[in-house]
Amino acid sequence: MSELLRVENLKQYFPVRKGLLGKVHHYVKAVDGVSFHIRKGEIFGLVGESGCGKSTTARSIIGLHKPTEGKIFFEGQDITALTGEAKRMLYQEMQMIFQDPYASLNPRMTVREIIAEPLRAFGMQDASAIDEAVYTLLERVGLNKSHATRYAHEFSGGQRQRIGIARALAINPKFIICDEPISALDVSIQAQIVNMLIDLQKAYGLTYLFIAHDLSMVKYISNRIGIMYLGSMVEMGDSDLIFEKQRHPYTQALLAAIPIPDPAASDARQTVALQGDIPSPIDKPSGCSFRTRCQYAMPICAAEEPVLQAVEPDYYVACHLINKS
Amino acid sequence: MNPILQINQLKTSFFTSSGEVAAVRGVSFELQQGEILGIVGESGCGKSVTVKSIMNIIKPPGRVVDGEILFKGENLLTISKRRIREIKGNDIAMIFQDPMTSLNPVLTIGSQLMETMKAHTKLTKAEREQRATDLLRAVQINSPETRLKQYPHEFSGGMRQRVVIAMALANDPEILIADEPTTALDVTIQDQILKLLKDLQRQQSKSVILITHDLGVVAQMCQRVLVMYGGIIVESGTREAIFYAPKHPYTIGLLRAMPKLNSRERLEAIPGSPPALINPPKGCPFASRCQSAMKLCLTRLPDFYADDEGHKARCWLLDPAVKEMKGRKGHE
Repeated sequence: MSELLRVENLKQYFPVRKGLLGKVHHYVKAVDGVSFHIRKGEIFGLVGESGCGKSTTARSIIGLHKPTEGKIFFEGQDITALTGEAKRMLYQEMQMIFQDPYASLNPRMTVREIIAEPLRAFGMQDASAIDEAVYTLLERVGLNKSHATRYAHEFSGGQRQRIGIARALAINPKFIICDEPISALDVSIQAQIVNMLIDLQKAYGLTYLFIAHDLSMVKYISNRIGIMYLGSMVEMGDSDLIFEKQRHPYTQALLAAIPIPDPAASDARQTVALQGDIPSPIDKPSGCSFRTRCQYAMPICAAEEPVLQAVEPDYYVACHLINKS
Repeated sequence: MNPILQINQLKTSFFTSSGEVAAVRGVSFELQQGEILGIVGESGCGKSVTVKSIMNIIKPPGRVVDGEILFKGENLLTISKRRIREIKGNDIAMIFQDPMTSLNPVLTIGSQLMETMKAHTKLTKAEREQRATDLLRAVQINSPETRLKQYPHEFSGGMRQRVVIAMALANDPEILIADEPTTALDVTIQDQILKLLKDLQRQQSKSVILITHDLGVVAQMCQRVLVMYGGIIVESGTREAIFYAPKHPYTIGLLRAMPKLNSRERLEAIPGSPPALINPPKGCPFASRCQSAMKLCLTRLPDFYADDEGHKARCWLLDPAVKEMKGRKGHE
């Protein structure tokens, strides 16, 4: 499979200013040297706890932040340097679905206007053609014509997420970033939306970057997974393999912390809770970011930052334990 | 066994400008001494309103319309305000989802911890300080003496939730009600808090009501489970009964909607969305989404059908007459 997106050593620092003159005091290192690629037609899951940089990475890809360092390639073209019209045209290929279907839809616009907006922005002018396109899109996401004249507040969370998806699909993008698209939804609705995302991906050959913290859902939907901790990628590979091998101590701790919806399996599991909190991205530990909570931490972990290395084809881990042996 | 808390036919409504929203429509259950009872359900199912009714913190336009809340035989809905304050201070404590709603940002953790003790106990200042330190240690906060002098913003989200739990424990209550206590937290922090709650229940034999929407949390924590939907309890039973032998189509649907380990089979989603409770359906609230719904389900809500182990579900499919009729149809 050929590559659609490549992120190379992405760094996204945000300055923290203090005092009257707004002198830069220090930096929040939200993303600190992350590299990965996504192949055409695959679903790549990005997982991690709050503050790990997964959403910031997504926002950098779609151009909401200008990277502090590093490059992002889309279909082989460096998109970090794009400006003006070239940058605008990129959004015809790349769209985003947001976490909160309540905040991401304009309450003053009808569903028709919400979905028609990207169509108009990219050159469709004929009113009847727009209407036709809107109706087709609504049907694609399991809604119908009669919904077009209503406002977002008239819909439930799941239906709003469908509207957000219809808007993202409007201009036939190749690549969609799904930023926690099901986190705000009830369990019974989550499955509806996940099924639909998979159907759409198959029908239109789409590529997704799927961001979530619900690991069982990410495993289910993704071909490959990247696990982030405090701005760095700690483990990356085939999603089934990651769950099976769990090579990085953080991956192990994360997977051990997910409650299992099965009483016997839950009782059988003897896990020790990971101690402590995630350190602040302003004041990151030296060397490996995870060492302050890692039960295997060695002197080298404080001295040197581990590099994300291939331990087998297409499986990467950043940990001194593994890289040494 | 004598239940420590017994809820009978609780009904709570919100009287809004567009009409009465019947959020809780006749809920009955009991909490046994020393158990963790889970209440699961989706947003708007009435789980939070149920426990807020127990805590007497339903704000207008909402109010408890009917029912009984018996704490050791005393009905919390009819006793004096003064007595309710006593019980809420000493016997029943609540932990909320967002720790910042229960913490005052301009007071130190120590003064907030000691405030509840001051109101409800006769401890001296030195004793209160000692107890506050002990409480922070009990919820596994390091260097409690220094931490007492700090403000909530100096704590991380997980630490704040520990402080809230310490506050709830301040007067050694018998019942802890935790409303989605870990929903706002990351999984590794959630794991710490859940283990802490479980330890408290085991070591101090607290009785806990745990509200959650996460079936994994239920499986890990609870002995018994209530499943709520559309303002009523649709099924209740032991954790094993609910997970391994669910009876109500909603419970069955919820369990099937989750991805199975090591399987890429298509998820079995429940179609549709929960009913609006401003005009609650006459029959079973789940009928419009239920694949096994019959005409009867749309017009009449069944009572509970229970088995010998106390596993109960409110579904017409469990009615002997309906079962017989279905069986006959199957043979034809």
